[in-house]
Amino acid sequence: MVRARRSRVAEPKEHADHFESIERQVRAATLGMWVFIASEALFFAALFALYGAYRADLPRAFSQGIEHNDLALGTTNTVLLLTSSLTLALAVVHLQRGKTSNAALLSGGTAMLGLAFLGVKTVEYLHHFESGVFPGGRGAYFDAHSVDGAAIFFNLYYLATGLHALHVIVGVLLVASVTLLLMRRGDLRVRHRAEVIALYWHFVDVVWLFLWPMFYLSRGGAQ
Amino acid sequence: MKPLWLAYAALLSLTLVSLASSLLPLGRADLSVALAIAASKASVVGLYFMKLREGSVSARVAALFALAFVVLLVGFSTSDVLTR
Repeated sequence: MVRARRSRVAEPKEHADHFESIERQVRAATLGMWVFIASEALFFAALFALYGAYRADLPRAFSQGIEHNDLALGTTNTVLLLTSSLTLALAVVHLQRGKTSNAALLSGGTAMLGLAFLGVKTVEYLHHFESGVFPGGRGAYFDAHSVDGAAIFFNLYYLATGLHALHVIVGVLLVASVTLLLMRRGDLRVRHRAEVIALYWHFVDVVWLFLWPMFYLSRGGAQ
Repeated sequence: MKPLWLAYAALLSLTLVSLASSLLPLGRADLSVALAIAASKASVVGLYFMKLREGSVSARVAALFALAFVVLLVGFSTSDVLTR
């Protein structure tokens, strides 16, 4: 009778089989995230291109739309995201130095700041709904302001900030998952995962750095 | 960690500059100025937070290509309408 040979429980390898070394795996993972970021950048670029083309065509509508947006809330969101990038970058450094609990605190803080951003965004959208600005050019605001293109501006606004908010939600979930991991382990694998997720989070921050001037700052002086 | 804090300070300062310049009557240059400041903030984030300064060449190539294609797409679409 042949007994199946019981295989010994394999020790978790440092790196996956198809990589020669852990360094190569880390490089591949990082490059993979960069390529993904590049593709997401092009995704947003399409919306930016629409913005540019329509703004060139309808300067007054864009000017008035920007006036209507809440500069204080938009700026708050900018500061929130910039701070969250700092906390996550600091978390990664702490992790590299073996200070796992500091890293967990900092990455938890990053997730909180991301949630705060989403909270502010929600308040903003609610304000817009109250003043009759709905997606699709619907609402009392558009009946009152018959500037050509008001609907186009706000459609772009909802599309761009909505898509960005989706990215923030995904980012918060990723950062939260890393935080939960860090509360238990701080080994090399977790560290690499944190570094790659940090890249994604910083990218989400960078996109907002452009959305802020596009939708809150640049009135263009067109009256 | 000090470079990270310095980068953060630079980002907050540039945010203030951006806010202040948006209150100036720059007319149609408004957006270009704001976007130029945004681009410099993005470079700070990219170089210091996303570690492009010490990263692999391929990561930098990916980032530069993304930038190049964004500029191409947005630039040409906008100038198309502007020159009609």
